[in-house]
Amino acid sequence: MTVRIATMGMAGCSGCHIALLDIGVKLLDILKDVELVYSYPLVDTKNPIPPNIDVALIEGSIRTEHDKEMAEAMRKQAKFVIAFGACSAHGGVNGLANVFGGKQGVEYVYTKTILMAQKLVPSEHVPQILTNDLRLSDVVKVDFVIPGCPPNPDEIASILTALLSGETPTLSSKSICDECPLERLTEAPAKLRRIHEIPEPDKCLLSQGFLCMGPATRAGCNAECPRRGMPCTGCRGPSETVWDQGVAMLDALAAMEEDEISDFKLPRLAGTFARYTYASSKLDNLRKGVQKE
Amino acid sequence: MKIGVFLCTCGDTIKGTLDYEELVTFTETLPNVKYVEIRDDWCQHESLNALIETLSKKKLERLVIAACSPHLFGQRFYEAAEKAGITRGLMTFANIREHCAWVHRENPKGATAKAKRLIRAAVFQVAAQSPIATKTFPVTQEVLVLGAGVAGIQASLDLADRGIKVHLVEREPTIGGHMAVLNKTYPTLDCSICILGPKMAEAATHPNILLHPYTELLAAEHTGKDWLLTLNKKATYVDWDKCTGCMQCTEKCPTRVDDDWSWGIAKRRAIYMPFSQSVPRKVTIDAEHCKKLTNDKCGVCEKVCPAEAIDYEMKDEVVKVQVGSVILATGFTEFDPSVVPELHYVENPDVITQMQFIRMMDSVGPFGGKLEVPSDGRKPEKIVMIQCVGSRDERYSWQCSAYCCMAAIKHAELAKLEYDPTLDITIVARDIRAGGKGFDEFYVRAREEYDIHFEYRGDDLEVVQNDGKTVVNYTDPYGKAHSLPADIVVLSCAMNPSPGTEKLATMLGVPLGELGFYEAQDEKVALARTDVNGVFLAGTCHGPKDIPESVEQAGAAAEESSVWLSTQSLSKELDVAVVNKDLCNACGLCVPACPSQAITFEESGDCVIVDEVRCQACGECMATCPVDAIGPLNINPTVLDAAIDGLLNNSIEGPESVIVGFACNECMYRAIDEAGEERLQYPADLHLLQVPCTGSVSTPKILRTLEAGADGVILFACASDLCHYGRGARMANSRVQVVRNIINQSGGNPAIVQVVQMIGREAKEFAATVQKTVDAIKGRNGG
Repeated sequence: MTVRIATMGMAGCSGCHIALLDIGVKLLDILKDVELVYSYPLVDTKNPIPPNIDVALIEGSIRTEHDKEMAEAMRKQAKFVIAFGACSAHGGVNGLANVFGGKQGVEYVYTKTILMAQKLVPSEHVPQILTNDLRLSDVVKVDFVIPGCPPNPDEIASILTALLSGETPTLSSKSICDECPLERLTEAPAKLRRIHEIPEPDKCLLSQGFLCMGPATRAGCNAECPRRGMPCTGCRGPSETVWDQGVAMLDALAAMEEDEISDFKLPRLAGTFARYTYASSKLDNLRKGVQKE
Repeated sequence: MKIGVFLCTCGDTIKGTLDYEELVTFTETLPNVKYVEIRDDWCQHESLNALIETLSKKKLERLVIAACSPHLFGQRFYEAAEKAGITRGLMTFANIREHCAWVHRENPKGATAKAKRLIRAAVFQVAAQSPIATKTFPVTQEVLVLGAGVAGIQASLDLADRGIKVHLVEREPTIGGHMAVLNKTYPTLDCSICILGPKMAEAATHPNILLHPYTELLAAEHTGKDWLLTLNKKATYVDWDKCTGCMQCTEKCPTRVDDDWSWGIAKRRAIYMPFSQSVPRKVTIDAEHCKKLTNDKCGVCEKVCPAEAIDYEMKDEVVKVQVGSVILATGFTEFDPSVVPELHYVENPDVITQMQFIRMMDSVGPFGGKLEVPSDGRKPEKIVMIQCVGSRDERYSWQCSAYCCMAAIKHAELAKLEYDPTLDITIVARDIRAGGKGFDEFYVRAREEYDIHFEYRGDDLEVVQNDGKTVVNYTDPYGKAHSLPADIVVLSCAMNPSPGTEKLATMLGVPLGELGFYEAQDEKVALARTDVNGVFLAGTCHGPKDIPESVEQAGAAAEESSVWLSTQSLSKELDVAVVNKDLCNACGLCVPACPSQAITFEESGDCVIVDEVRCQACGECMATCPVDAIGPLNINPTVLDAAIDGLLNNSIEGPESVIVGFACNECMYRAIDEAGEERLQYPADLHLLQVPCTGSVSTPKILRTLEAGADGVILFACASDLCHYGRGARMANSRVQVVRNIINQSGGNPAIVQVVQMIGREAKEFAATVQKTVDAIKGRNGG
């Protein structure tokens, strides 16, 4: 029996779709049993969404009324909905717009940036923008999440293979450190360093003062970044038992003698500690809570 | 799960404030609560018996005592519960007296609402707790003996013969200490090395003794049951496995250095063996004076060594040992008479000390036993010995050095016996102290048989030089002046603590007496014991004494130490930090956070492990763990969350807002109790949870408490530099700053999170501070 699969792209960069293609030769094995019934990033048709979809992969966050409508429409037709990639799973980089609250960001882009000659916020023929960037699960029920910016092709392949053979896929519940080959941290970072201050190879990046989000970030990517000397930026969101990814990492640095992090302004706090998750983070909840009051 | 809640009215003292009917009705509705009972006096014997009976009869599995502070009668309740088979881990307290009724007497409604929350928090918390096991950790069956003089050697042999492994550490290249070079011993004039030599050899070859010569103690740390000692094995620059002790190198070495083992009256080479009976019989290069090591010149020893044992590249080596007990046998050093101006010890070469004199007379010593006047090498005719140099002299020490009367008599007799019976020897003493067994006979024999003269001095005494002739001028106790010409003047110097004694005392925490010797626990009945666990004393490091006394004390120290090893074991309730291995990712954040160095990585590197002996259950690890994989058994993240939910979930009707305070169990909780005892009033908004240290409350935990509905959070920490665990209070401060910044940046009021730091027992200040802090937090509601 062939499995009917659909893919969809919301506010995002199509990078997750590229990652899907990046599965490479193995994709041919997967496609043997699959009928790709709907995929507007790949095939130029948007409507109508066909019925009886078995699995829907939805990339991107929910940024406009249109995104919301399309997600709801897809949910109606699909038995199993997957939030595909960081934006869909946690709000993604787009979520950082929430820092500036509501529509302020849109106004800035259309009236203050050089490229926008008319200095006008468009109102016709464009969907209404939402006050806050949302993740997919904020608008529809999500059955499974594939995290990552972009998701790891091997992980996508193994999840799809599991689904096609009727198994329930799982994500690692551990954090990046579990997969990281670098020498373990044994002393707390004394000072925050930036990546151009080249880290020593083979040594825990966090212990050297580079903000590596590894301890609080979900494993499953084989620690590809830190093992190459690049601190984890946390694209896979919090690991299973982390209360909040960004706050946990803020705490990890609270012991630093130079008390710089207690002076971070919100854009830096969000951009550094919740780069892919701000829209679904406790930091944003706090902001929303205060603004509601 | 069956939980029993036992409410106390404290003999009616809190009945007026709290509405007990309401409390009981409320408590009965709480999940898992199967039994509630009120009494006026749960702490009393009769009631405790009733408690035990009820617990058993009703088959209750966990219990909550809602009464006074657990710091007051907690232990009684623990013991009672234990009799009913409920371990310490499965009970908890709601402090409704000191923390509630007594401090909110003017607000009965608020106090009752708060008591409900405290009881609910306790019920939720106890449901999440785990039983605590007790484990016994035996003390490591090894002893380190520091100092290998006669006392150290004797103690080591006594222990080793009992099958206890001994590390015998000596900072010199040879064991033996002073006794090895004393020539003869009093009062029998036995050959000193003939007695000690076999003991030295036995110590070196005993299967249970590991010798650490030329080694010093660098650091000492007590792990809770054992001593973890770091030793520095100094480089000898000679491979002792190859060195045969043939001494060809010492003959050829061109560098001559003052010989410490002859107290400077002779020279030795830069490569040397301390004395001919050294154990181990190996040579050592004195790095400070060797030309090769200081200037990269010479290298003769390497050329002549037939065993190719010289190794100029050798480095110091750090060795770690773990032992159950330490015996200090670090000995003494002879008082330096150069500080006594009237003796002219430095200017006059014919003024020497007893140690120098005995080395001079030693037939196998540096002079080959030739007795001569140091300044011109002539044969001496008159010798004067001066007693009490540096002792019984208030300028230096009021103490009698105990050994010097007998030592002087012994040396006088030896000089007469072995060198020249016609020698004229006078001992100028304050008095002669000859209290030991056979001592007085020895003294009488010296006077009567050997014709040694004894004169008695007062305070005035001076050694002068007239025309190159040395004269001792002194006044006798009756005020009459005397003048004694002398070819050699021998000073009987005090015993002083050996250099480094103070450093070791600091390292091990052993108290020093006024004169700088180690202090015994009791100078009459616990002579070999110190106030420090597992540390014992042997020999002259404890005070001046002679060989028999040193050996006696060494035996006692060995005995005490072996009893210590067989009786002392650390019995510890394991409410220590526990690691959830499934969750731990070995990120390592908790490793540097632990103030007790109790956390290390498991061998596989997959997770961390906790040293149950070292862990103090402060909870600092819990706060740093991003995935909640570690925490003290009964204040782990789940238990703490349960308590927070107990305070906050579902509103309880009451006029107050709910401010959650996390109070450190060391200083602050007691200060808060005291505010209760003094009936100081503060707002009922404040609800306290007890944590081991405020450093255990993480940034996420503070924010989570606010998310759960708290109107504010206060961390009650010790003063930053007084935190019992080191950095806990400082961390509490840092975290509050981080949280306040987050709230501020999100547009909220940062004042809702506060840290209060106080030194314990400032109850009045505490109440005032709470009022101020609660006002600051509630300011938000007004604005």
